[in-house]
Amino acid sequence: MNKKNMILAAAVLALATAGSASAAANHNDAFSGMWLVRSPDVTKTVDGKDPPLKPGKRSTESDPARPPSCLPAGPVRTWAVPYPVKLLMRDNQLTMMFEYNHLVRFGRIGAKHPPADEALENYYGDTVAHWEGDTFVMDTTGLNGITWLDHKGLPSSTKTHVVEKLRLTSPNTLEVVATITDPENYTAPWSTRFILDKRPDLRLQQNVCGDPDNRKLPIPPAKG
Amino acid sequence: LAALCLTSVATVVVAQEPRAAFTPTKSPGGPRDLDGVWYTRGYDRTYRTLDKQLPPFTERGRTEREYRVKQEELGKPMSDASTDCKPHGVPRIMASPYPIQIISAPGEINIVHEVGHNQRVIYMNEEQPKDAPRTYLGHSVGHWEGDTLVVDTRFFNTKTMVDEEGIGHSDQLHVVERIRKIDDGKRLENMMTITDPVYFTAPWTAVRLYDYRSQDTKIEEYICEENNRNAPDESGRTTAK
Repeated sequence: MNKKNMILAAAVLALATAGSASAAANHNDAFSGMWLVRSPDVTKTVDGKDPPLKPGKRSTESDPARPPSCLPAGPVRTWAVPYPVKLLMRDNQLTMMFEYNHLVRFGRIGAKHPPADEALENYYGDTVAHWEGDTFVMDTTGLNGITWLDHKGLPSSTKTHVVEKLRLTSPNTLEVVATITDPENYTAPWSTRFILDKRPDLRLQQNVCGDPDNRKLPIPPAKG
Repeated sequence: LAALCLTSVATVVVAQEPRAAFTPTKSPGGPRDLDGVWYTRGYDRTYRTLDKQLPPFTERGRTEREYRVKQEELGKPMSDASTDCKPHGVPRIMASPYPIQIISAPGEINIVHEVGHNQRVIYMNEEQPKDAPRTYLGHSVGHWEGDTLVVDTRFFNTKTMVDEEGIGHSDQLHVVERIRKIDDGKRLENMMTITDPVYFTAPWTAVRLYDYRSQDTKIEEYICEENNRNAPDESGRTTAK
């Protein structure tokens, strides 16, 4: 068994162990459905301030070495992408089917992060999840440091730790508060907030990065 | 882009390592509960009829396949949508040697594929529209006939292939999948009937089987644009495990 398979086996064991106890509690259809971010703005903290970048760190928007496009948005920024996302709370996990470049992300309930020395470095990292009352908490590590935290190029690193708290503030409004801890890039943990509207009038459309047939933006508001 | 294509083609062409023996377990739920992780049994780059023959080609269909096979023999494999990291098309995506996860929801059944983050949505108990945008994965509607999920997919673009080896299709491709649990719920069977009067003289049917693998497999990140799923080893060899 190679290292990757060992990691997989450990993760699956954790999933299996956690599955039976929490299966009844995680079936929350209220989260399921189509959602669209209300205002895909540049990321500010929940206090409306700029994120606390360390001296010398900056957004990489104008960096000629900026990463190529068509790669996943990563956690945090993924909520600001102005295309819809389908959430499915099923099978002990939150599945996030993003229209943007048909990307997929999972928040696995009760799963455990792999040990630090076996952690993979991925665009969406490794996301484990649990419920705190009616709030769905996703904890992400194992990021590759390539993704940005907003579309202006707010940096992340392989040490970035993201906690995203999802809760319904009304039946048709989803609040996502993401708290970012990254000692490489920021002087202190900071939080940002995204508001998504439920959009049962929308369906996922084909979205292939760079394809001229992708949905035209901005998406009109729901009728009525 | 050229580098990306080369990397992806290499991924496809290199021989597969045999997977460890695996005994599937019974999936939970009834015959109409297809939710869970499923993994194709074995890896076969080709679709053939149920009696293991090439499909009934039109001249165009035969010529195109022969040309693609010949180019690969010459060491010049031709690209298609998947080698450009685009969605693989139907039915080709259903032969991918990576796990899939079926997730049902009211009025729809979703299929999330590990390979290239392909997503399929099957809208249940709806008629096909009279027309729809031509897309890589087409537009799918489904219904139950007994305990068999019948999925009708059409409105494809012409950037994908029917199989990985060289069977092509036109924008008249129409695929009907009949998906059901078999072997006491341990496996899934997908009988795919493929119709395209430009490429085939008659409808033909191919089959794929999938093991239930929720107990030991999850969908991993697979970003074709970087090939982070199957990073090459020290010798530069990459495999689909």
